[in-house]
Amino acid sequence: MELVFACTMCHSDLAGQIRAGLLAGDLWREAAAMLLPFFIVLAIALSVRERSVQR
Amino acid sequence: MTRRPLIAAGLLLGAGLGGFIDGIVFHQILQLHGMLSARLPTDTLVNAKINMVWDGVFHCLTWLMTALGVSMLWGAARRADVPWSGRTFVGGLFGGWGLFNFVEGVIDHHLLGIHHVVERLGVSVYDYAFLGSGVAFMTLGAVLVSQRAISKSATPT
Repeated sequence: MELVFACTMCHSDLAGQIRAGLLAGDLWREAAAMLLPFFIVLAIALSVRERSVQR
Repeated sequence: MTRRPLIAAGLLLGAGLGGFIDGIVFHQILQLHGMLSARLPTDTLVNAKINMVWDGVFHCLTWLMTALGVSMLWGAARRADVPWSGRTFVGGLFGGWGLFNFVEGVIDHHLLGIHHVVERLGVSVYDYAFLGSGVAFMTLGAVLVSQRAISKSATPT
């Protein structure tokens, strides 16, 4: 492996491998893992706030 | 009078700041795990950098939660019917931090299994301690919020 500096946007071999790895993963699974905890907390916080608006 | 807007702001800010603690301390400083380290072990440069990208997405979401919390706190501060109570707000913060630890632990550590607190150990006592911290923080938050000692004198106008 070529050990050079590589940002994820550049054209080096290393950056290409990183992009390929990102695209090869189960993106839905990773996205769900990222988003679900935040959506659940957000939904609870909004429901707490919403009740006060309805009063 | 209603304390709910202040509690809701505290929940979001607590979840956002708690997420930052997880990401900064566990992912970056101690490097005990990465976002997908159970599936892509961080023992190669490519895998470490892929984990780093997903850690960045995670931090984007914690930033959004924090920004939303600040926005809600601003809205709560402008309402005359919301008592400005530090105890209630701190209770909301702990509640949000605990809720985030518990939900993130259940989903990411146990259900999806994308990472564990100490990755080299897999599912370990540290994962259950993480869930326990979530329950403990939520309990502390509930105790603080349930107190009726509200400082009305500091209510913003």
